[in-house]
Amino acid sequence: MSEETKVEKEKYNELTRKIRDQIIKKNELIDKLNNLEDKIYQKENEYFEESVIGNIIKGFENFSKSSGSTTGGSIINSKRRVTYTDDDHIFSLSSVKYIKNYSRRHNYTNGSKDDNFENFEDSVEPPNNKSIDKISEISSNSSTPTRKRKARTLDD
Amino acid sequence: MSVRFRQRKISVKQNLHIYKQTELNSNDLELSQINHLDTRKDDINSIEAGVEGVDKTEQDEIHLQQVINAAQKFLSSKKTEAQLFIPTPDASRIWDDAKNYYQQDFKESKSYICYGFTYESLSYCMDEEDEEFFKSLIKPKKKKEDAISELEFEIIIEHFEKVIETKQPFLSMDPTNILSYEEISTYIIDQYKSSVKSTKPYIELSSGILNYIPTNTLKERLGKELNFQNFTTIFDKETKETPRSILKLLDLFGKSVYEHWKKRKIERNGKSIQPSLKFEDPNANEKDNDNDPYVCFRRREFRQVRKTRRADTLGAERIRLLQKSLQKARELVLNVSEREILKAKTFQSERELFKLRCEGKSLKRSLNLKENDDHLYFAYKRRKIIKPKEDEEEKKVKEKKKEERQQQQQQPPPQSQTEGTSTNQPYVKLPPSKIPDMDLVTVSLVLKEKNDTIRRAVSEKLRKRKEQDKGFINLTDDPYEPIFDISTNQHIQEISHIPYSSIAATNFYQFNTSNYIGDPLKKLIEDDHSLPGVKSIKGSNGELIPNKAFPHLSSITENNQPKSYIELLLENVENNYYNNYTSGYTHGIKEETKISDPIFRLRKRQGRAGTFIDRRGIIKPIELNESDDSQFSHENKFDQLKRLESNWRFDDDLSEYQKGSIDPFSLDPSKLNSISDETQAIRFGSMLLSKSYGLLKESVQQKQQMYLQQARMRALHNQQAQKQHQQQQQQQQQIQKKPTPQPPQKLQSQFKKTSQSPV
Repeated sequence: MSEETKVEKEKYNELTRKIRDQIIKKNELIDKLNNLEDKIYQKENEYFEESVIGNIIKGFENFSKSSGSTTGGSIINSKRRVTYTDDDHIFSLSSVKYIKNYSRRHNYTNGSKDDNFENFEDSVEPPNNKSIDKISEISSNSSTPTRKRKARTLDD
Repeated sequence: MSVRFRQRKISVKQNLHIYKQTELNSNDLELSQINHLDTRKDDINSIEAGVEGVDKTEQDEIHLQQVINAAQKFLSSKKTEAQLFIPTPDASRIWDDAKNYYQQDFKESKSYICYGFTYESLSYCMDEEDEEFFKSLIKPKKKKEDAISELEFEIIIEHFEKVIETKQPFLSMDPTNILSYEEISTYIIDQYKSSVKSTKPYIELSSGILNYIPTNTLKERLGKELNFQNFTTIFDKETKETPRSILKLLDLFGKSVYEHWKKRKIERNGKSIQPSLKFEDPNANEKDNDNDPYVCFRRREFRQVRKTRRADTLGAERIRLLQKSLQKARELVLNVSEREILKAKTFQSERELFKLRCEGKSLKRSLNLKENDDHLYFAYKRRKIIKPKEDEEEKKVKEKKKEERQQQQQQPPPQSQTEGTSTNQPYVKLPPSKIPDMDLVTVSLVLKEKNDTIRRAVSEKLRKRKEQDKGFINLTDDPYEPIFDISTNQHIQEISHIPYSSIAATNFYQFNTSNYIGDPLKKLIEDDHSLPGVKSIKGSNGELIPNKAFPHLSSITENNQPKSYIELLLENVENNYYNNYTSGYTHGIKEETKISDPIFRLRKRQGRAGTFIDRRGIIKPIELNESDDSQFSHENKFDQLKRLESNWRFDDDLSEYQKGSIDPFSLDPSKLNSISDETQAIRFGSMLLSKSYGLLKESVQQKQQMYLQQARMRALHNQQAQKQHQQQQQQQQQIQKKPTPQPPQKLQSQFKKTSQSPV
């Protein structure tokens, strides 16, 4: 082996190390992001539930209404059960990524194949199962379904 | 009638009288109303009336008075005067200089609401003096970095001002005592650092007054909190340069700006450089405040609302709640922005990764390396994270819930069923007149049905059994029907109790024998003879032993034996023979029982002293033979005697009720249930009574209706009669009015007729 190739090889090793680091970093970030998104959703629900006098989504209409005449206890009693739709989750569902998670969790699958990409992850370690599905293969495979889907939509 | 109508809002609750025009006296009306309705010639005295609808202070206005007077004069005298009017400001002319002051080109703004965050954020604005200094500040420095923007200049000045406000609020007493630059700058830096830590949007000053942080510092703080630089909001004006942080500004320009600012401050005698609005001085005399024309936003006198303490605390609590809620919202927003930053970072890292991979791939290809590190370059299918536990639990919970629901659903029906059965056959006391019309089922019918079903079931079972036992003969026992020698019990005491006493009923028959192996059969077996009805072969030579009839079995097949109770019953039912039910079982027995003729008879007789027993001997009946018929001319004498002889059988001292109890299966319905005569009488009487009452009621109603109809008819009749009467009267009147012409006509006609007839 010549020295040049040695240097090159070292460079390559350096690169793979970098890739490794980057993958780890990225996965960490994604994990963090997922956690944060979950946390936001949770917090948001909490916020909705606790908001007796109103909140910044539905408004504080009741805040001044019953303040004059009624007793203090009635604020809580008189609260009508406000129903919150998905549209009200402006914090958590303002993230496209989280909407996907959310809809998957609530089984609102659109039947689209886009979700396939969600099933892939980068990892430092080689995968366990030997039937290696590469994204490229999937993308080639997925070309037919998309065509099919189009046909279906035309039928509709 | 001087109640004048004061113009008020018409309320729903108040009644409004509606006047017609004729009801109105014009004196009561106001001028305007009269004008509206109709100008009559009535005098109008009320001058005040015309001033209605105008503010009290403006009632005396001279033009108004003039107009009103003129109108009244016009109304009273109908003379036209010179036209009077209330002058209005003249807006007809054009002001020549307007062009100088108003620009013609108007641009419609994009929105009607203007946000002024950037303007509000700074409480300090540069003025002319500052501008001069600012220019001088820019000139010597030509590097871009060192250039200071107007905004940054303002920020510095504002910071200085704020420090003086907090540190030296009474600087005006001795302006020369102003803080040095070092003091001020260290204070500012300290404050900046400390303010970053707290999340409160205000700084609490030593004097207890809360000072709100300017938006710029707030933004800085938020940026720090998020670990994100260049914090901007969509409300921010798009500026090419965002102001640098105060620390840097101070470092760069602090000293020079300070000098300029200090100079101005001292010039202003320690007061704020910026002109500010003058408010009411709380310490000054009230009159002084009132007289000072420069005071703006004067306080308005208003009655203070009395508050209870509860209301106070309520409000405070509410505010606290609001604050809490808002804080939560803020947290959420902060989290969201954090999320967005994270997202940006992930995308960046993804991009970087992509770049690295590209590089790596090309390098790998060029070096023709065959290392097994493909996994670094592709994304692989996510390893399935198994978390079915939760799902299963959830499922279980769901299933449980479902089951519970189902149970809940299932539970109610049985209740309803039981309720249904209970409601199916309710015990309802019906008044005799309301017993529904339905076919009565006779006892015999029911019994027949019952027996039919029993017979069917029994015969069916027997048939099945026989089929199973084909080719076998059971010698030990008659498998189909136990053979009992049953006879009616001779010693039974209480035959009359049979229908309701099970003991008596069971005693009605007695089982004479319950034979498993009859005596003759026993003997046969003991003597080692061949059994009758069975093929038997001699052991010695294998010959068939001739069969003997089996008396016991043959008796069964021939039905010679007395029939069993059930057999009898079935037969009876088949033949529709219900005498046993209708006339009672005693009947048959009585016939069988041997009753001797009475040996000795006593007679109960009604005498004067009540009943007594006639002890005279009974005359022996004349012995009669049928053969002696010839001796008697009347054939029926024999019958008579026979009847007489058997008279005792029917002569009974018992009452009907007693008889009924003895003879429970009597055909007489009153005796059927052994109801005593008294109750029977009461029942019957009450039935009659209710029936008669019903009839009476009906008849009364009918009569009433009849009467009403008659009355109506009569009324109609009367009316007609009256009408007729009236008509008659009218006719009479008419006749009376012109009585003369008619008779002659008649006469004439008659005359004519008479005259004509002979012709």
